[in-house]
Amino acid sequence: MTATVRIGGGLGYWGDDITAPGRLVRGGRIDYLVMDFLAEVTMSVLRKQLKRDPSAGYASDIVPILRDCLGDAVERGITIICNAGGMNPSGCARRVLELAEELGLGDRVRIAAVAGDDLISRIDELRAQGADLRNIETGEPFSLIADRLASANAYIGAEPVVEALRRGANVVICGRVADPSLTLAALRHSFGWKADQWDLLAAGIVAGHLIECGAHVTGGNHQAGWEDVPAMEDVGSPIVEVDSHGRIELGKTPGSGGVVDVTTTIEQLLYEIGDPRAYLTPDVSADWTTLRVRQLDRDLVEIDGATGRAAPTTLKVSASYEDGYSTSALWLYSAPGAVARAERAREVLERRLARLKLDIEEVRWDLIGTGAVHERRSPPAGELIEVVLRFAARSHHRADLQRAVVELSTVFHGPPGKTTLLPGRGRVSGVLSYWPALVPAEFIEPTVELIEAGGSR
Amino acid sequence: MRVPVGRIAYARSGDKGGTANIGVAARHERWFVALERELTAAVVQEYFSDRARQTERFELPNLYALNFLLHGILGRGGTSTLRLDPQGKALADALCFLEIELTDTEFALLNSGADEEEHR
Repeated sequence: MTATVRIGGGLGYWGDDITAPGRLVRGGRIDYLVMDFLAEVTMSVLRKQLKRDPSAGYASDIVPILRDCLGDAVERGITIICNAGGMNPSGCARRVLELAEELGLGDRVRIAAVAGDDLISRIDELRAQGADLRNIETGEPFSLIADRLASANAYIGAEPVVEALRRGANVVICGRVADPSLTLAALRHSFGWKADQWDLLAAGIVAGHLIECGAHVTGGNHQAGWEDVPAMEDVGSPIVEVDSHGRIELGKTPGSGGVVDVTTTIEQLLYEIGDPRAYLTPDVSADWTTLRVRQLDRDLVEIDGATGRAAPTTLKVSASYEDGYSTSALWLYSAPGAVARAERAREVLERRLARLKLDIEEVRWDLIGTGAVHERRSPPAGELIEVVLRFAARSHHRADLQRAVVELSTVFHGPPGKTTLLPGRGRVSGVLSYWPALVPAEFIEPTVELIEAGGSR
Repeated sequence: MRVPVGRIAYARSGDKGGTANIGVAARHERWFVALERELTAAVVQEYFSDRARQTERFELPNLYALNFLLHGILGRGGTSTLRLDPQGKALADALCFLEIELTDTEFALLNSGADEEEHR
């Protein structure tokens, strides 16, 4: 049995540094490269792409990333696990195989696609089986949005990824596998942890949570002390070294910038959690309140003490639905009395818009520079020489918003001292709103497909 | 004496659908008592009452930290809210501006430079 397993978190989100995974592969002495591409909102964007082109619908950054590091990963025996598959894991895996063949690595990769999370074509069947899919935040019934559904994906756990690894895959391309479960799968496969060893599974989830946001645990976005982060232009990627008892050591790419300490670790542990006694995943309900965090050395932190309880019998469903349209506009006032000018411009536009009697459900005005983001919770600033006036609106009537956008051009009839920040008229675009729901776990059947040249099996 | 939360704690926030979480951790374990005493769910709900439907608080004494769930603060999620900070990433800093009451002893300790000493 391997004494410890080293797993690198190469990517924290789609759009993150595409050169970071390569540096991890070449310099991190890692056994697994894990990459998280998906946020709540990403799936609906990918679904739109898939509708336009049946070979699309995945996180396309996977191609340049693997072009850079697939050869080195194969050479070093590093296994790659990611959720770049998005809405089309199989299509993504085929693209990766093409790339491997182009790089002369076709016979050295074994690529698996993990799917079964996409529920869009199964909604009626699931509801007939008794899944009510009500909104778990608001309690609203699914019927409110049934005819406007844009995407619906269940968060699936580590099991199918473990299965893919067991079948010899060294590149696993997943759809909506829960972010930390990608890491847990590597650990379960390495150590043979069983699906009901709750404390160990919880440790694997903690390890996954620590690395799933990439540089956010190694000195990026460091709330407790960004001023003291060394070489911020070269912040390293996180690496967890885990033993078979679930003890974790968190470090980062050797020789990189950034910092790993107790505060960066705690910040990441606290990120996007709910009840810390029951961090719910498809694999285990993990307890964050038994964790111990200790600095071992420079840029090396020990995390242990994870405990867990049985996984919930339901899986979370992340759905999105078409919810009208929105538009926004920005104007920069840069002159003495900038705030007064922007306020007068707002008044002019408000009066002109009111005269049109448009059907607009929500309008929001902000004066950026005056504490707009914190909505007057920040301490007052002094006299401002520059301020940005922002208009944003939402409506279920596209034409009404389009008419409003035309009216906004009369901002030129208002006060002087304005600079146009964005060229041309504002765009009216479709809005997708979020619908969180639950589905009984037994209704979901994850699939593992091994992709081979000329077909799959 | 009143001090902003940010003097004794750091925080990170993010979105979970229409709900946001703010994790707040004491800069030094000695400040956890004050955080736990002053930063109640009611205080935080009152602070964000123009936006949040309800605030829940959870304690992580092992990390000298609290976690708040602000229900409904992001409307129907990051893709559809008109807020400037659609994913609630700036809520952590907003909370750090909130002023809380320290005892005289705590305030004296805060100004003694003990935190900075130990940081070195």
